[in-house]
Amino acid sequence: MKNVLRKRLPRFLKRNLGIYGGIALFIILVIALSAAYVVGNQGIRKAFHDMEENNRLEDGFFALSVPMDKAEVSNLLGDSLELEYQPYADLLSSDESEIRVFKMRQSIDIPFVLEGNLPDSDNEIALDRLYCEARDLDLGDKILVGSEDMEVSGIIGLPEYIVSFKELGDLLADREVFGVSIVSDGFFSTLDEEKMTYQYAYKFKNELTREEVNQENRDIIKKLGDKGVLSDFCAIGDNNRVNNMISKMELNINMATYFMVLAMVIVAFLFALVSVHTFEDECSFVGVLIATGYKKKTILRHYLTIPVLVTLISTGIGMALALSFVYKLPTQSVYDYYVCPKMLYTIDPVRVAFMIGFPILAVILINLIVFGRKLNLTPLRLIRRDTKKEKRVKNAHEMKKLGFLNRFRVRTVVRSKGQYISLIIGVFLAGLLCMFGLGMRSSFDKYIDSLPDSAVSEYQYVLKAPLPDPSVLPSDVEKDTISTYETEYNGRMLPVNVLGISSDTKYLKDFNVASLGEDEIIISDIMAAKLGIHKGDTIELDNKLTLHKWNAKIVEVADFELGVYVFTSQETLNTYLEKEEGYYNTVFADGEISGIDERFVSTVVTKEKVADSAKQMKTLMASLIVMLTAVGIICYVIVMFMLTKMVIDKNALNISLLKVFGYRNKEVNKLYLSQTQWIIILSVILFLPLQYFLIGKIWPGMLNSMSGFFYFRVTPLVMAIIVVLGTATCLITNAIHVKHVRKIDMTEALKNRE
Amino acid sequence: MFVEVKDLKKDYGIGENIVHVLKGLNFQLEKGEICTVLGPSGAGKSTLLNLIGGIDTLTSGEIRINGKKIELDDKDGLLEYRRDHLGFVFQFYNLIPDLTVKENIEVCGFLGKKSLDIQKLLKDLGLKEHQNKYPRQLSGGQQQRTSIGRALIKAPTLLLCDEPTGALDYDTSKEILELIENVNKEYNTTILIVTHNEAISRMSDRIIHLKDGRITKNEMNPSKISAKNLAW
Repeated sequence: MKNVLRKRLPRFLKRNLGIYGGIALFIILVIALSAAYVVGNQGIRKAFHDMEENNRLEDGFFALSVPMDKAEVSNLLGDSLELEYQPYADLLSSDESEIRVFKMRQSIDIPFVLEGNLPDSDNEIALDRLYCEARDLDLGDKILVGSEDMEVSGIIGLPEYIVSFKELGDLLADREVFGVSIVSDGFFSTLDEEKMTYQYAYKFKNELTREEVNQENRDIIKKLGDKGVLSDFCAIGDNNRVNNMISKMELNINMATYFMVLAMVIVAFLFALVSVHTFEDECSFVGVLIATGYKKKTILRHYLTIPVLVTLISTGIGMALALSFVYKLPTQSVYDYYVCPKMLYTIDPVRVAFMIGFPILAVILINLIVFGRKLNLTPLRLIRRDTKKEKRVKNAHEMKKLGFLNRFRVRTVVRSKGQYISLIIGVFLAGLLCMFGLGMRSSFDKYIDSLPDSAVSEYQYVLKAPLPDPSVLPSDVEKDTISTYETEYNGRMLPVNVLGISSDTKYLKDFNVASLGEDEIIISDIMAAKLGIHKGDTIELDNKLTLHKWNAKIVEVADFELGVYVFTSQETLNTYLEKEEGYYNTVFADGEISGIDERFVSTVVTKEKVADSAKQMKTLMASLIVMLTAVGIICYVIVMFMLTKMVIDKNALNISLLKVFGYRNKEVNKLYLSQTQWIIILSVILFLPLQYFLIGKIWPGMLNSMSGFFYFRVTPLVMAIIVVLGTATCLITNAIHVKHVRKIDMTEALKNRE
Repeated sequence: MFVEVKDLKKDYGIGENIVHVLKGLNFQLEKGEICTVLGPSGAGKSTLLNLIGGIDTLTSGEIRINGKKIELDDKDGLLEYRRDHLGFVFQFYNLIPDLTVKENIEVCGFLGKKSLDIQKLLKDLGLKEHQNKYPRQLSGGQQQRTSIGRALIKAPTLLLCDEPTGALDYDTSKEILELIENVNKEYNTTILIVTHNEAISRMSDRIIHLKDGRITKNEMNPSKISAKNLAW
């Protein structure tokens, strides 16, 4: 005979549709969105890595101050490098925007064609996608390039210009004013030599270790520098035009995974509550089954079936939604900013298995713990509903000073402390998720707001080399030295800006670098927060180009919002960089410096650009932020609804009994519902600091893939939203439940009291 | 007459599934009378009690308490009726586990316009020393005493008892019945007891026999005896 218990499963599910439906909806939402972000971003990352190999992304580039042919350069640098001559010229178009025109490439940085073709004739041009989109340019359209009208033959992307920063140090890519293109060799040869930048891209012929790559790069710089022809150099690891996107993808994947794990902890918690609730309801029935010969295994399987099926089906639905179309959501914001290859729909089996497996394992584990422990009780104890540990029951305190209503409330809370603790934990977890979502947005906003104010000066010029004519610099500017070092962070090398502050500093007086010992440094608080390091710690800093290794002791952590910075004296840094006294490569000024030779300027950073770049980052992450905010709020509402429903359901019979005695609804509310409301509202408020503290603790892990860092910050408005949401949900839920309780038949309530 | 029941009918279900539980009951109770309703399971005893208690709706007929018709459609009116006039004693006590003995009694004391002195009541019920205990610390008899205390605290004019000794042993049952008898004497409370136990009827003034939704016998008890002399 078949196991007849199975027949009750659909009926049980139907009876508890509210609770299981709520959990299922929650799982579907969380899995669909978090998996979509993971799949979408992984698809783009995969497309990028495939492009990296197929289109042979460079290992670095250098620009020369004079033209040199490939053979000559090859002779100078040795045969460990594969070279491609990639000269370019920046030409104006009719709308005053600049188009960087490259000639065709053969073996390195081969363009990827998104529409149309690469140019076949001298009057054709292939332009980057975002530049075309900004001007509604289609294939076959004409565009003025320099003095020539050219036809758009293709819409493309260049592997080394995933984000079109005109200068490497730029913080902002503006498609309105700059784009890149490929033209035929024939057209390129007609361009004015004076506008030409003589650039070579290179790839290492052999696979090299990180140290070997650093050594090779240093050799290139040294050989070209010694010959006096080097005007620019960038290894791929430092190329912001390429690395920017991948770090953002990693950030999105990380955030979505953290979010999913947090949400699934809540799901497991909800299932634990439901399981305890179910067991308490049915323990005498379970006792009878065991007494009549049912195996504990059979009963355990019976009670596991619905939670596991609900989780499995909703995880499956969520995953199917994510993999079928929701994954397109996060990719759009990437396409809006990066010219990258179209995402390659790819499923990472490990991550998909994790996303499906984690919720199911959590549910099985929770149920095994809840039921496994209870099923060890004797059938007699189960039948008698004697499932709790024997405890000596003490007489109650009289609480004479409290009136009847308050004593009633206190007793209810004390005796139902298990339920209330669950409720409080649930409120805490749901609030955590809500704060995570809402806090993401406010953190970005605060970051954007604070950046311009934290800039050292109105203008910062980063120089490729000292200016040949320093007299163009006004006397009140500050001339410092800046260099990029690396330090190990979570198994990878994190770039660190080292700023050597001049002794007559005007802008950075608060940094007392003059008193620093040789191996002592000051670090920014952002760096301390990101790396989790403190005053007194020692860190190892490596300079890729000079190969200088620096074990530096942190003597001070200073307020500095701009990023991961180390501060030392200019003299010390110049010594480590093997530069002569008085060397500088960055200039801080109150205003724009006129007459500065642009060929020596790597980038100009202004407060406005800093703010714009942060805004752009926010735009890029907008859909993720919206997703986290929305799901955070929805989860909060669902969890609050379910938890208060559980508490009220548990008291439903007592409530109906009071009604039999003649209590009015208002009085019942005062006795049973008001303390629940107050406990929820107080929990919502009192947990805010703890939630804030905890998210602050896991926040650096979420920003792991970012080279920079910003603090998790919530504004009073966010706090207020969480409190209002919690209170409103609690009140609405109570109102719904009160309505439900009113409908309970009083005679049924009495019958069920046995 | 204090309680008047006229042609009381109660059906459950509809169409082919209709069950006529009460098929036209008529009886009257005097003020201060103890009435026992006897009958086998399914006779309609609890349904009758629920209707008089104003927690279920009737199909037809009428119930009058102290001359006033109970309007079963008027939810607020019913609530006030239960609040002002009724006390309930159930077979399974229905005490609120979160509350102490004293507080369980206060649950109904809170509703009464002229509640009795709780300390006196606790003493009368033999619960004074248990007043700060929770229900699970009490014996079945003590729990039922608490339940009676809860019903009495607001000085109801009509006490409805549904199998008040159904879950108790012989000695405790007798104790509880004595208590009910004392309540009747001391407060002149009209008491309606529904039970399977025929012996209980010997302490009542009136005995009503119910079978299959009809009254088969409604008689005064000429040989009423004190509860302490009951035996079964």
